[in-house]
Amino acid sequence: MMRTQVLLIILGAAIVTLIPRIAPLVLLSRVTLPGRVVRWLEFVPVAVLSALLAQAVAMPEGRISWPPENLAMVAVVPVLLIAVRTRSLIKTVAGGVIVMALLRWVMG
Amino acid sequence: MRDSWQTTNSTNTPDTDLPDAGQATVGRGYAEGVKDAVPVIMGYLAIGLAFGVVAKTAGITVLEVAVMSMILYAGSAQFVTVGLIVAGVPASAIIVTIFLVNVRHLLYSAAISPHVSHLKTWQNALIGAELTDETFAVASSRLGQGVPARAGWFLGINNISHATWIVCTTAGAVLGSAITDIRALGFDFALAAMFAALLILQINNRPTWMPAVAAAAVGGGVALCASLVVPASWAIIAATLTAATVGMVLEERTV
Repeated sequence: MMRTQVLLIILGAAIVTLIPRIAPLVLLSRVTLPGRVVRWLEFVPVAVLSALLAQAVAMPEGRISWPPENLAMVAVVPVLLIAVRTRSLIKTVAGGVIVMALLRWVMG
Repeated sequence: MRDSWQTTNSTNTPDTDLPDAGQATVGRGYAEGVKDAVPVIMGYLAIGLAFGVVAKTAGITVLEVAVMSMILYAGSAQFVTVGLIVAGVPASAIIVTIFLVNVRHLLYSAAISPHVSHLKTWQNALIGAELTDETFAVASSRLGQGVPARAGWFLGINNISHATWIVCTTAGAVLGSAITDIRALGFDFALAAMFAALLILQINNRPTWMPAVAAAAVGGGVALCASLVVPASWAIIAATLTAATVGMVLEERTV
């Protein structure tokens, strides 16, 4: 079942989401950006990743929480070590999942 | 053996362990894009199922969940949408809210744009249409080495990630409360671990690590502090603007 009102909300939300996703890619890729802007954009991934990581680890339920309730804050330590040591995306993600499962098992 | 492997690889191509290590660049095709999406798929598995369960419990139908995942395709925004629909908020207010939640994609799209100037406009539009936090995180980590991005690679990672999202959210809605404890398996931590790994790889990609580490510290700090006063997605924007500026200025002074 599909309610008309819900469909309209989804359509509207999709359109206002597509605009920021597509517009810079289409418009900025056609112009040559000044060197300083490009160097700033090169730092966006580090900036975004640190922000996403901090929120994923410190506020997994949408607000800041601490161990023992928030085990992500514990798991991130070995996971960062695995990442630095292996420089491996797959190994770090697999390690993170295992560490988290173990932590939950240990904490009951 | 192990140590020599790590030394040689970590200096040249930090993220070599991604599938097909030898040619680990973005100048690759659809199949490689699909393989590179594996960490994203692991993360979407847990969040997608969780979203389906939450939405169904809140009175959203299976078809509505499927359609939402097909054409909206945005994790946190979909949770927010469901919450607002259930709260009876008017459609216009929901749409404005979702724009504010998703406006951070401007930064992701802009950051990728210098790398895809050789592609056709419709290809760039197609790449942008399926851009998420997670696919941007993976894509940007592969673009750091100055290798031209290939449209096929983007479509590979984008399509399989989107397909995973549609299948898992719909499955969550169908199964409902029958799957209560996927958290016990630890999959809900997959995306956090992916962000951690990609952050380390990104820092490793910079000419000197100090400005990048400083930027990361600022970004993490602002993302948390700002989230106390503004919605989390705005905190991401504030953190990105601050941290990228700090990183750029420090790098200009040290390199």
